[in-house]
Amino acid sequence: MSYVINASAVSKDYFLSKESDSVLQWMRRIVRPEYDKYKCLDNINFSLQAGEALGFIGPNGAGKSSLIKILCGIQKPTSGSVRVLGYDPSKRDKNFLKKIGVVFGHKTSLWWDLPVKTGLETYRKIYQVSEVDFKRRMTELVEALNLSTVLNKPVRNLSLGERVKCELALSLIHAPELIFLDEPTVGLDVTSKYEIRKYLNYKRETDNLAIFLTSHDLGDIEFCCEQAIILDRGCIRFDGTLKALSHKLSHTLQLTVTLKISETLTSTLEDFKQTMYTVNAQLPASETATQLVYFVAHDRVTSVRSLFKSDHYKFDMKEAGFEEGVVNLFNTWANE
Amino acid sequence: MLITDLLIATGIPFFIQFAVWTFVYEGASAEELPGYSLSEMYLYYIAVLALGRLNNAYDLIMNVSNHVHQGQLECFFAKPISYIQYSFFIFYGAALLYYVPLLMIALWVGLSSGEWVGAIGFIVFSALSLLLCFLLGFLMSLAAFWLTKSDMIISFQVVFTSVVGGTLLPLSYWPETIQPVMQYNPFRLLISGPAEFLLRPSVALAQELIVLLIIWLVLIYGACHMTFKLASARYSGAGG
Repeated sequence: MSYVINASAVSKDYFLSKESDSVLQWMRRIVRPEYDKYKCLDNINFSLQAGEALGFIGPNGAGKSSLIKILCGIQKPTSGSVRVLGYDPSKRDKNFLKKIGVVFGHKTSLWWDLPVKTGLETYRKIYQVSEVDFKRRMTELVEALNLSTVLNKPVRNLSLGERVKCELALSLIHAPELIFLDEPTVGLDVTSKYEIRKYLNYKRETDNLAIFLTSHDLGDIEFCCEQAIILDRGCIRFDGTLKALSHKLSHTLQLTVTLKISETLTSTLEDFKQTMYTVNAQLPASETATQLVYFVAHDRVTSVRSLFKSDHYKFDMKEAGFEEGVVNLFNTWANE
Repeated sequence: MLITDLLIATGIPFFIQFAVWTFVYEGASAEELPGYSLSEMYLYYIAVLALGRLNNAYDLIMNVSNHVHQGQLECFFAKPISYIQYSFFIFYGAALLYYVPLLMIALWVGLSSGEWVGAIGFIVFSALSLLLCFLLGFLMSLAAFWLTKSDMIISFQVVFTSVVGGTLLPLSYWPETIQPVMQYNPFRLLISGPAEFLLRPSVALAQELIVLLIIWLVLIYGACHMTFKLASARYSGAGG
């Protein structure tokens, strides 16, 4: 079985300069620096095949972007082995780089002052794409991503959505076998998101494009990927199909606890919060002065119910959605 | 930009030098201060100021520094582009405009004196100095991988170009003891080297400049290559 990505026992450590408590210590550390080790990724194992789409989910600082940087050769892992399209990405072989596309949602590869068309034409030459292929792909991209009105505009004049769509066009202009998308839809409107997601799925079907996607918008993952990995503080917490993840999350209920008489009994709500923490080791997913929201597993509902004082607050319960379930997972792990 | 650069950044310093040296020569007992007549001194400063504008690595240092600190380098590393080559062509493209004044100076000297060796040598050495300027600027800009602010690097570049490069004073005006430093440092090749050749062309000077250029180009290219490799290996980008 040929893998597009094969990551085995990948770990990444960062070394941060220690803060100095005194001038003397600071001066000593100029000569002999001391560092604190921060483990960003720990023993990451996964693989991806051609035509598959893998979504990486995780809270901020989970290590998603560091993993993308390792996979496309920007950084080296501290330990472990990575093979992408048969290459060691850290060597930055030009043949390897011509086979991948990378979109960083918050960075631009196009030249700020040049029209989009000029930037794309320059990349055509860098990627050595023939004019015929370039024209054919451009026609398709312009139509699919609705770019006809922006091609002659300088990049600095584009809206965020237009710029990200142009970045996507640039990353696909050389027909890569694998595309890395790091939060590609951050800050985009629903139409732009839809166009991007739809086109990515189309490219998977027609060109067997493999997709590695990280996003805080779970809609991106749901729409484009059938495989998902949840990363938390550098460790894989879930690795499986999106169906399995949905199934796992479907066992979660959203409980809303609201004070009946808000002004006099706020301490009662605080008491409930304390009890919930003592009994269930659980903090609320969100809270206001008169309301607490929890995500609770089905099998714990009975024990949670016994904590309620129905005279003081009312209790609403509903099935948690996919996104709410993931948020609950993050919160649970954050409290561990 | 052109007006700022040519009229303010180049024109004003020239008129100050013009006034200073006119005053110095009027008070001097000899007709020639160390090796130059007053008209040669004017020509030296015209050439030196034009070379100073051509061989200016300010934008290069700022660009590299911004790419490193804002994480933009990631966009280059993930594409089949050599960052050094990319930076070179951006630098070269931006510098071409400032080559025009040098061509005009060479043409004027050639036409007015009928002596073309100095003028042609000036053009050739200026073109080669641009390559050296890029490598020096790029090497200095790589300090951005270790430093938070690029101001210090730019200050170093300006000071070296002004003092040891020969923008402030011609080489022959410096005391004997520091003459070797002034003669063999790479910044001389950017500024006073081509200007000296324009004024006093000779086979010996041409040989000296060519040998120095080759040695410094090889050394600094090697240093750039090694430092960039080291720096990019420790590069961790910016944010998520």
